[in-house]
This record gives sequence, C-alpha cells and structure tokens, in this order.
Amino acid sequence: MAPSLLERQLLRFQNGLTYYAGLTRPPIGRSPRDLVWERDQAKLWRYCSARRRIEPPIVIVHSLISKSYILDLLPNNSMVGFLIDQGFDVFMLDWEPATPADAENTLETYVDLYLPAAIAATCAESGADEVTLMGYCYGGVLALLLAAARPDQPLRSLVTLTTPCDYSQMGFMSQMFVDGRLDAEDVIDETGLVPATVLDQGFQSLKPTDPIVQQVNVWQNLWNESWLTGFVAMNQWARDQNPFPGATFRQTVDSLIRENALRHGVVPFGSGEARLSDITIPFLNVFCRRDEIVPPRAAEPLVKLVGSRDASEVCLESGHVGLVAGRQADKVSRPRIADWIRSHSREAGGPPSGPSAQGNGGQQSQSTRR
Amino acid sequence: MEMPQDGSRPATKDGKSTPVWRATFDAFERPIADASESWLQSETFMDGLALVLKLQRRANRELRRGLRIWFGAWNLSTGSDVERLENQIANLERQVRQLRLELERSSDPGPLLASTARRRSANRDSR
Repeated sequence: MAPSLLERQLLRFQNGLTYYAGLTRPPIGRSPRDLVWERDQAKLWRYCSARRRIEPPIVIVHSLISKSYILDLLPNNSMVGFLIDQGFDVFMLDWEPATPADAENTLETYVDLYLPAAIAATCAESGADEVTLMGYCYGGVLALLLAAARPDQPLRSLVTLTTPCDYSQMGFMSQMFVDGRLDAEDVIDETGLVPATVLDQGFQSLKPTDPIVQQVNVWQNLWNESWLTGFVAMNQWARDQNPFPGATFRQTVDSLIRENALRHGVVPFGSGEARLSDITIPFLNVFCRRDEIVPPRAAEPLVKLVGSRDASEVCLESGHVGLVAGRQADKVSRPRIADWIRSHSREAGGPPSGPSAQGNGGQQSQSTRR
Repeated sequence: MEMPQDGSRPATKDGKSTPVWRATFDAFERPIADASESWLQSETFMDGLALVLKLQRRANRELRRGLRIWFGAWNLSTGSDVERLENQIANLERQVRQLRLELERSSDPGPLLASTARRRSANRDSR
C-alpha cells in the first residue's frame, strides 16, 4: 500500500539524511563468485550456482571502459543472477582499472593474449569443450575481433550487447576525433592512459541537463527507499569509469573511428586484418532504440557484416544501461537473450535445444538471417 | 505505483500522479535539454571545444615545465618527477610481463594457464 502524505514526508526526511550524507550504500555486485584465472589486469570470475544445467558456459567479456558490476548490479536486479537462475554456467572476463603498465596494450593484446587464455581457462574449469561468448559494449568489439581473427577458438555462438560498429553514428564523442578535431594524444596523459575523468566528462556531456534532472528525480522519489537504492547504484556505476590504455585508444581512433573499419567489415589487426565476414558461428546482436551512448544506427549494421548463416538481431526499447539493468531488462531483454543462448546450447548431457527465440514481443523487433 | 530498481522515473499509469511542480519542471527542462543536446552536436561547438581542450593541454604542459624548472632549481621534486618514476616502473613491469610470456610460451606452447591460475572467492556469504 502506498504511504500517506505524512508518511512520505517522514520517509523523505529519513532517506534524505542518509542520501545527502553519502551513507546510502547499495549492495552492488554481490553474487558469489570464484576467481578462476587472472593475468595482469584481466580477471576471470566464475559465478557460483547449484543450478548449472546448460552447456556450454557463457563467457561475458566486459567493456574496458566501465565497471562490470552493472551486470550484477543489485541482488534483485542482476543480469548475471538471471542467467544463473536460468541454469547457465556464467563466467565474467573482467578488467581491473588499467595501470601505466597497460598503457601499451593494444587490441591484439586483449584479443590474442587475454581472451584466448580466458576461454581456455573457462574450458579447463568447466570441463566444456566450447563456450558462448557474450560481449558488452566495447567488450563486444573485442569479442567480434576474436571471433573474426581467431577461428581456432572454441566458440559455440557469439552475442554482442550494445556494441558499436558504425562509429560515424556514435555522435559527439567520436565526432570529436573525426577529421583531426582532436587526436588521441590530446586526451592521453603522461602515463600513457586516457584518464577515467576524461571518459566520465565525455559521457556526462552527452546529456548536459541530466545532473539537474537527476536531483529533481531524487527529490521526487526520496521517500521510496528501493528507488533510491537503485538510483544510487546506477549513478555510482555511471560515474565509475576505468582509465583506458593509450595504445588501444590510438587504434580505436585511427581504425574504428576515422577509418570506420568495423562498419566496412575489415579491421587492421596484428600484421593482417580481421574480417567480420569470417565469423560463421551463430550470432546475436542486441541493441537499444533509446541508447545515447551506442545509438541503434551505430550498432545495427553488425548482423549484415558477419558471415554467419544464423545471424539475428534484437532491438529493444531501452537505453544503454536499461538493456542489462532495470525494468526493461527484467521483463524483456534478459529473457530474450537467455532464450536465444538456450536455443543455441544444450541441456547438460543432451542434444542442442531447438530455436525458441524467434517471436516478437511488445515493441521490440527481431530479425533473423539463416 | 510501480517503482523501478534502476533509478529511472517511477512508472505512472496515468498523468494524474505526476505532481504539478514536476510537470512544470519537465515543461521547462525538455526544450532546454533538446536545445543543449543539439548545440553540443553542432560543428561550432565541437570545433570550439576541441580548440579549448588543445589550448588547455598546451597551457598545462607549459605550466608543468615551468614548475619543474623552478622546483628543480631548489632541488625539490614535482608531480612530473613522480610520473617519470611511475613510467619507469611501468616499463619494467612491461618487460617482466614480456619475459614471463616468452618463458611460458617456450615451456608450454598451449594456453597460458598454469602460472596464472589462482583461486579466490568473493561474496561467498551473500547467497
């Protein structure tokens, strides 16, 4: 039952004290997990579950930019928790904040060194002979490059979540680097990293009035403790960026932004190139209509660029974060993603399940190419 | 009224539950937000911002150079000395990483597992 006006004011006062004193501490990233492999800043976590019944395991490749707890935000609002409850064996390849020693890490370092080793560790730990690879945001770029450049990798299927492809559609942040307005060197600091504050300022400037709107939202909903917990958790994540390795950033600017290499399907990689058309495993691309960071136009082309005969896309009515955390995530995106992966997996000890994620629901759209 | 867990605005089944003050705020904020976002995407703004950032970086570099010379004259260390040390340590760490990699590859051409596997648990008591 909704509280009365007086109760609301009392709750507002009580919650306001803890919120403005900075004492609201949401329980973020609490799913139990084991560290099964690590190398430098790369960490591979396996989430604990007594319900594992679907093979192969899922390896989530997180973005280099943000913190991975967005995928395990709150106990009742967790992408990882949802997948575990569905019976998946979930691994997370996470990145500790880059240090100056990581400044010279290139895309090849991540794709040729860390990812294959993490996948091998996943197989060794779970006893599986292949994995489902899922990349979130920039982690999707790494996953795509791995699938394209390393056909030797034991990948059952590939899922990209809000992964940028057409950088000419990425708006303000990439436009600043097009045509030499800014060079990568203009934002790389003396230690060879792009500071987290620069990335934070870039993201914050996408919606200049948001800080004011957020405070108004807080005032309006201050009485509601669960809303406030969700807000603080989300807000904490939104301002919590990782420094970005300078060498990878130079490649991102030169190849991905200026040459728009992913959009053309051919990315300079190592001494050769990675061709998206070489990706032949089942592929799902998930993007969001209201995404401000990776607009749908930037993520959409992927499904046509990969060589998979079984390539699908799902466009959801949410924002960049709403895809994995929030009401839309709980009701629509998590079930859709889980259904697709399940349809490309098998029950432990059984044959692969049949396709089950082809229907459209609500305002979402999905297309499949077979 | 259903409350979302993601910090977004609460869902309302009809417009009546939106307070008047909030509706008034939104009426002012939305056009301002639209205009500011369009301005942000304009060539003029992006060119100006790029220029400001470049000038800021240049000024910062010159300031640091001046401070280094001035502090150096008094035999005092500055932030850039610390950064230089940090970079030297980072270089050493990179060399160690490279050597370790070569050693692992020469002893076992397979995936780089054995020397890096280490088990640690987190949040065990929360479920």
